[in-house]
Amino acid sequence: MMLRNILVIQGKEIIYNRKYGETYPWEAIAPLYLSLTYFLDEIVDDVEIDFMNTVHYKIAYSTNSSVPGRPLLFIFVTDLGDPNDIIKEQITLFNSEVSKMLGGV
Amino acid sequence: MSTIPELPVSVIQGVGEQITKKLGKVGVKTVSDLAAIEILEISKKLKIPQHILIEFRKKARQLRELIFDFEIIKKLEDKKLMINDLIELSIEKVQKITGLNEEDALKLLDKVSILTIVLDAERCKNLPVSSLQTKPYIPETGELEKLVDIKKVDTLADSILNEIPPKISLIGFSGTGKTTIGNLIQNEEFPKTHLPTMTLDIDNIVIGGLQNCILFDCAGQEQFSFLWNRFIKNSDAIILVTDSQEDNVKKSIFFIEQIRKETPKTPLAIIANKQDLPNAMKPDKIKEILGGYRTEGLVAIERENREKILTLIADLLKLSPELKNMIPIQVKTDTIIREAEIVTQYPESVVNEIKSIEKEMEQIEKEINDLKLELKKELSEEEARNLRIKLIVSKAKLRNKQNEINAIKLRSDSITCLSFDIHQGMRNVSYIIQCKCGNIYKVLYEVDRGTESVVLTCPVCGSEYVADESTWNELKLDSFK
Repeated sequence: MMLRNILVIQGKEIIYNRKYGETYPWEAIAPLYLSLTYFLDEIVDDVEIDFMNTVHYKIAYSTNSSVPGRPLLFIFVTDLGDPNDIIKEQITLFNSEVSKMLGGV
Repeated sequence: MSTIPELPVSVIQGVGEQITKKLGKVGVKTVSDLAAIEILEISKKLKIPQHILIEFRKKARQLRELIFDFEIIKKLEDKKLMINDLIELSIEKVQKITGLNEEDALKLLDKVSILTIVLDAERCKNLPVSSLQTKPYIPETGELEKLVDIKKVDTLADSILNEIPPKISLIGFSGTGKTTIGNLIQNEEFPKTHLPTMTLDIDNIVIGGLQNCILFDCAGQEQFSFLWNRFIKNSDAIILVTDSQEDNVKKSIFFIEQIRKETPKTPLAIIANKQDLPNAMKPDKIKEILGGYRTEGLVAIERENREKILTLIADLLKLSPELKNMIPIQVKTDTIIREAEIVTQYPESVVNEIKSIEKEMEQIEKEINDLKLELKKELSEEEARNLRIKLIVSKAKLRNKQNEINAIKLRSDSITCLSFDIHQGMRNVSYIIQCKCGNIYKVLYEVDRGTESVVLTCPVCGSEYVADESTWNELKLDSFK
């Protein structure tokens, strides 16, 4: 199990990016990132968690629209074999804590 | 190769020469600059209506977000095409040049059509296809720093990293040195005799900046072979250890087959241990026999190989450079602390400081245990979540306290004598000095029986440290006198 990257996106800007391990080069994930940011403009209900398995890594994301301004998108990039329940627990924690810091719930 | 965000703002439809000049005065020169402007500020400064600036910025952002495949652009470029030629190309022609299927060719032309909306046709007439964006826009990061205490977010993120630690498995037949390698990784004493591992040893280890990994050391005796398959499953990295003897290497093919069957995608490396023994096969030869996996020669009982094994694990886990680059510092710090602890009595003030932190650690450990017990009770989702947050924070606090102790030990002004030996009537003494300026330096000094003191000079700040009989007494080097 290995958490490789944590990203927080607001609008179309990455407001937080912490890398722990190798992931895809930006060129490879840019289209995915863009589609997620477009999706962020459209969301009505928050996504508690969703997973995408790509060739080498698993991408988990969760949103929070309770913060002032545009909704937040939290992305965890982990290894493919990492259990979804543990990722869910951790991304939920991170989402809730960071959103609280930003004035959300 | 230029990219659209690096093109001048004048290529944006409607900007024109006058506004280009005005924007240039406030440093907005490229499409990328224009995409990032603060409307209110620029509008006030340049007296350009806000709605016009919003329109220009929108076009610049549209351009910034267009991504063209590098290989495709290269194929179009080979045909010496200009952007306006591309717009006029039929889909069949695009397919022929690029080799794309119909759907992807349409997607490409869709992107090109956006160009025709946002770019000034006249100014772009002579732009080669190579000026299309081939490197996607990489958004600026770090905005969160302006909004919250970023250290808190980093601590939370790091705690989460440590909550889901990677699993590293050491596997190989009995007596190949797995436990010794585990001790080397953890900077612990090496076993003097071979005591076979019974079933499984699990330890928490640190790899550079990665504060928590789990090391599984599985028993190598064949009576435990029923465990091996289960043991390697879900590993993030596997290290197969051989003792470099031909017979053992050939037998180890068995493990390679098991790993390929059970967890073929897990990164694997081979340690050709006991390279100091006669008849040890060379790592290259072992690599060839065991299927071409990365193979490192090692003598696990030599502590200087610690960095090598830690780096191997960091590579297998594909750690980020930030975490991997901490390995040399980790090795240096651990060595100094370990060897200093062997011979050094810290001054009373340092001992007291460490004791007080250790007391705090005991308290935190108690908190952690209490929280774990609480979590076993029936709780609402909200209560359980709050307890888990507290648990993560407490664990992070505990790690910070341990780091504090290490830092105090290093900061201590006491001189640390690592080793000394008597050779032909001379004493060769290795000193490692932690200077007041923070520099750590090592000096080898030769003194004879009559020497009363030696003066050691810091190569960075020039401060002098006098080591004399009282130092040797303090270090309990009685036999030195």
